Amino acid sequence: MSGPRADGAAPAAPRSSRARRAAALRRLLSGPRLAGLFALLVALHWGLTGVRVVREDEQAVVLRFGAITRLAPAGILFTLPWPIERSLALRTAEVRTMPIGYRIADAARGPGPSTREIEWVTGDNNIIDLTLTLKYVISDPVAYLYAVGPVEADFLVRRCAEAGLTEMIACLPVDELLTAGKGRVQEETRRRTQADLDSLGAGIRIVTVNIGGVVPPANVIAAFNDVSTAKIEKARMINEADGYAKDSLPRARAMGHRAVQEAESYREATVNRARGEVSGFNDLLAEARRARAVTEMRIYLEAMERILPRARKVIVDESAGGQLRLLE
Amino acid sequence: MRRTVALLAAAAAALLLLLSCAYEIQPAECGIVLFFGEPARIVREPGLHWKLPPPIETLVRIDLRLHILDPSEAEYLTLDKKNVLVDAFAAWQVEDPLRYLVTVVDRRTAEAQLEDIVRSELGSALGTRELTALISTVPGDVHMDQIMQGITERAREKAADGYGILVRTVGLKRLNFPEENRQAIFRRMEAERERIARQYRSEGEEQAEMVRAQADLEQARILAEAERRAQEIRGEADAEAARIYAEAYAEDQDFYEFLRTLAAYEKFIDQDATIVLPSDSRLLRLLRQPHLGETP
Repeated sequence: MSGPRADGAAPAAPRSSRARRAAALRRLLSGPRLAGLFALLVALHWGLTGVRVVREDEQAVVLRFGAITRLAPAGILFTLPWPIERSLALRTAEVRTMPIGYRIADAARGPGPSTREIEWVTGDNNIIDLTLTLKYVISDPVAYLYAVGPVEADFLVRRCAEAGLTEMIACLPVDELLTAGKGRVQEETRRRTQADLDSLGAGIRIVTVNIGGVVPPANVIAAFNDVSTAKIEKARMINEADGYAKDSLPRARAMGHRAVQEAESYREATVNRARGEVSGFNDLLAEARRARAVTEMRIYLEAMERILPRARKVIVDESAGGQLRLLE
Repeated sequence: MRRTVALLAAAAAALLLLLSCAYEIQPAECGIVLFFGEPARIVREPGLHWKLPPPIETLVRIDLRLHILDPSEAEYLTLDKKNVLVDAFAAWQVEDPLRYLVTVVDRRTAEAQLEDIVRSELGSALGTRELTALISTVPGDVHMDQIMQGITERAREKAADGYGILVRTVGLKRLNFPEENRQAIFRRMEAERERIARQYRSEGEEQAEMVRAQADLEQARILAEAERRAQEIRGEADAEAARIYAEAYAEDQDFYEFLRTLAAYEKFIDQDATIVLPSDSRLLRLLRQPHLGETP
């Protein structure tokens, strides 16, 4: 009920203001003013081609008609507008990774590295699987961009590292590679690769070289593992023998000690028995010295009491002319 | 109005003409200006340059940066008739742009030519060397760097003369053996490992046996030593006892003889012995004639 009335009252005022605005726009877009606005926008846009932000991890190279004029650090960079000056930003702080012996894509997706990539020939004509990861940064943006070219420079890192590794491994015996040689290979790879890259002026600095793994190829790994087992077995056998020695020697010492102890106790016993017997003898002798005949008689008769009961006895009567007469 | 349009068109045409006369040379790039198709001048300086508009003068750009040639691996025969798979690479760049332009035109052709050079140099270099010059654990045997140096130099000569290319380096990025040899190598590796494993095991046995024997010897020595000591002590004891007896019995030899003789009787007279006693012996005389009350 209130709608129609509101409809009827409202339209008058907006219609007039809308018309006014349309008229102003028509004036602005007509004739020389429009051209002026267009020129201003184009000029502004053109001027803005000379402004860019160089990010924290980047460095920019500024070229004027293709010639390098300066290097710009991170921050807002103002250059003359295109096509007079151009700038190229490079992520120089970024540490890049180069896999040797495998591919990052393969490692991420699952399939193992191909034998052609992972295999290396050692000095003793063995084949070994080795993977290595190189980390590097761009040390000289200009050289990186213009001595080799961005894509090929990364590729060159790989080629130089592979050449260094091939040469190095071809002089090393497989056992050294599997055990102590890793650190040396890492260091030497870094040194050689850096030297090669420097001589080619690649503008790249190797940061680290890490051996991911050194293992014998899959079809001979069992034999290599058996060598490790044998090594452990050898140690175990020697250990056991040591254990035997450590056990048997104290035992022998104990036995020897006991034999000596027994001899000592024999000595005690023998000497004490002698002392005892001698002391008995001395007692008897002292008695005998006081009354020799009586003592000797007593001892004699006591001995006879002990001896005669067990022997057969024959008593001969002397007065009867020596005839035998058995007592029993 | 018509005049204005004509002016504008003329200005645009002039601008286009001006633009076709200007060109930029980037770093590590060189331009060859061709005058009706004939090389007229080489521009190496990076920056803005001018030439006559085409078709009078045209520009060819040549990349002077380092390129990497990466031919596929190939089998080579060494002097001692061993097959090796060699995967090489070469780093090269344009040295003489004009000759490069005239002889090879583009990178693909250049690399095909260079690949032929590298392959033939590799073949002839490896064919005059034994395998141990590439692979050996004997210090001083391996001359890989020297071989690659030689290949680089000869390839450099050929490429420079023929194509205006500078070969910076030829490197050996991978060495391996052909498939049929690889199987033999794996078998040999296995045999080698078996030998080493056996050696470890017998060394273990040997050393363990030595330790045991040493321990046994030591044990025997300890026991013998103890036995000797025990015998000494027993001997000392016997001597001591003998001395004690001798000292005491020397006091009265007759009395000792008396006692000892009685003790001997006790030992050797048993139930098998027969003792003949005269009836008038001192022991028995009382049986016959008791002298009662007469004892002294």
